[in-house]
Amino acid sequence: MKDSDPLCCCEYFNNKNERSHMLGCCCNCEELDLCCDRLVTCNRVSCEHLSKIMGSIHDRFRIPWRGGAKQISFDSILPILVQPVLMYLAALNVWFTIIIFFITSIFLWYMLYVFVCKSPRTKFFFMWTIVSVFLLVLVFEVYVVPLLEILPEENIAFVIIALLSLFFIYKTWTRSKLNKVNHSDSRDDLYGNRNKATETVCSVCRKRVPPRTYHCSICQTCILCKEHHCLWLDCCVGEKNQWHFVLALFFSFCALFDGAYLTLTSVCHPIFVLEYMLVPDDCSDVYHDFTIALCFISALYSLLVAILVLFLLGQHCWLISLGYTKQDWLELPTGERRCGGLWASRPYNKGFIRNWINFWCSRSSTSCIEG
Amino acid sequence: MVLKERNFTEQDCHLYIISLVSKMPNLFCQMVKKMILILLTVIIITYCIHPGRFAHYYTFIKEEDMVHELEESPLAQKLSETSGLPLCPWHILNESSYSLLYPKKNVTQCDLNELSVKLDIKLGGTWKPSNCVSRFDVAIVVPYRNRQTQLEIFLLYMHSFLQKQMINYRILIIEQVEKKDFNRAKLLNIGYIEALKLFPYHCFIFHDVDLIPQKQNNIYACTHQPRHMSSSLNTFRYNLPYRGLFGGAVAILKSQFELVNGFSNMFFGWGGEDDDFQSRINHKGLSICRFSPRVSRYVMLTHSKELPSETRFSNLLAGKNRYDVDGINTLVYTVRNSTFKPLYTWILVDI
Repeated sequence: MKDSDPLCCCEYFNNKNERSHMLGCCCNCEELDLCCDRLVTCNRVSCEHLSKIMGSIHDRFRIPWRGGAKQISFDSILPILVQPVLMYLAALNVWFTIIIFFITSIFLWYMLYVFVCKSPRTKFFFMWTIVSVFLLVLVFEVYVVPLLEILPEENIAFVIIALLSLFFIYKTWTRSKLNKVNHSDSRDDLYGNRNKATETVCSVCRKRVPPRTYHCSICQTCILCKEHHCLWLDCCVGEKNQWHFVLALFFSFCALFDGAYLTLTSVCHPIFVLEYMLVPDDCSDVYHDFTIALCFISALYSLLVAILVLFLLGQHCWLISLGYTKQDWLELPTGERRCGGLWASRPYNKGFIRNWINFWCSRSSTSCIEG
Repeated sequence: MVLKERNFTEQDCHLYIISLVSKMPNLFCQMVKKMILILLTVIIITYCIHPGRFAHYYTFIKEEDMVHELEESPLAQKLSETSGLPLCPWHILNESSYSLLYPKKNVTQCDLNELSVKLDIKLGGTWKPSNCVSRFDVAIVVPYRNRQTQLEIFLLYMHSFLQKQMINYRILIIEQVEKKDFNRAKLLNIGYIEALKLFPYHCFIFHDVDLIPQKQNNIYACTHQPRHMSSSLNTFRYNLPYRGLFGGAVAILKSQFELVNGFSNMFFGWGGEDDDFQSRINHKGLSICRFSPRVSRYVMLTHSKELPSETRFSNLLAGKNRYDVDGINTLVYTVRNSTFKPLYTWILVDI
């Protein structure tokens, strides 16, 4: 067989550029052989050897695909495997729920630490978001709705909010490409001629960039008016998609909260407060039925996420009102962050109303230049 | 643009058409893909918002019409004439405050002992108003097994609740001996027969022990048509899951219960018997009615849910053929114990 032949769906070129087949994934690993040799002969197995083994495991981890097997990175399928298992365990009883929620939050913190340091371009968090959304929707549609306790109007409102939040997440994601600074000459000229004084030079790209532009090490490019890099959506938030991002936060909060509310009032015993407000009262018997427990913990999860999202939303609104981006804020010296940054110097502040107008018009960069 | 048009020769035209034709399959493919995507989205969204998957609204008797819909006891009028006492007033129907009532959760034995003295309840859990003649003679039949705490909460709450409604009532607790699976329907049939041995009640209310009515104007009497009382239950978010639901607490006239031949005796375990009863009622040309959701609010006392019986669907299907050969006319049971307790009539049966 020649190398020029087209690949079948299970074939691929490995990292030594040799033609391999998926069926051979467990055969003939030179790195492993070497390690075993060293173990038998009582020689030291260094970290380098181990990482080579990891490298070839990673290389052989593939799924069949048209035009050759596709490599899938281990970290991006981790959420697909982990989340359903965690969900199953958490639904078993109340202690498991507490332990699993605790472990999951620690696990995510740890992952954040590991990935930000070791491999910042990971898709782990993005996949985590997708799997979470998928599982939450699945539980709602398959287990909560068939309880026949939700009114059609409540559901329509919920579906609209959920679709809006997905739409704005999608918009944030697609528009993030517009934030990248175009290093072509015309742009350089444009800014160069107009505002030489306020222009800065990106230390990584070694190119001239408009003010308030920051380099993103994950996107490996300069981002206009960079807010921050959102790991969960796997994109940078900057000038062009900032308001989409804030709306996505807002609608996500509404959808998560509404979903949790509908689910909790369905599975727990609700009571009326203030005549028309139905609130969950007694959730003591949710663990008697596994599917009910599943609904309950998914509601709990979305409630926790909703609180985090609300916190983020509040932070963003505060910073926008003050005329900061998150990146500006992070670069402030700690001494100036007192009182939420009210007393710090704010070079790009245009006043509360103008800040918000600029925000909605995706124009923060031009305002930077004028300032 | 104009220049181009002038130079547009026949050959160009041919070339253009050829290029268009060669692109056609590609374009067609894209269009089909787009169509499939749109169709899929539409199907998913229609599925998500399809009203059949959600709780239902229902037609109900308006609060001001409740008086006309109620069926008074035939005995009441006669009794009023012979005894010289007036018929009881309707005022309870007009009491419509927004607030919901809740039962007292931790009942002590002391509360229960005091209750019969305080409320003047006769032995066997029966009471009638002393200064007027009640318009309704109601037997409240409660199937029961192994729910001591709930029964205490129920009794403490219901006696004072019913007395405010000026009803001549009796609470019958029908308990099944621990042998077979719980047969709610058969216990209710037994309750019907046993109640009639004590007094000619004209109205029967079949009530679960874990349901507590939350509105004082939800009157415990019969309407012209069989009535589903617990149509707005808190565990269903105060909504009605489906319009055919006829379980929990129902009120039916004696004549109607006789007409439909009671419940089926075949439903062992949880579930199915209420749907069967509803189809029996429809089969005889009766229809069920409900009071407004604002009136018929109920709260369910917490307990662990039973596993649904595996035979409930087959029973439900087979039930259609035995409306006349399975019911109160074929009821066989033995009473193990029948006692007039201070707060209820207790009947222990082996079925």
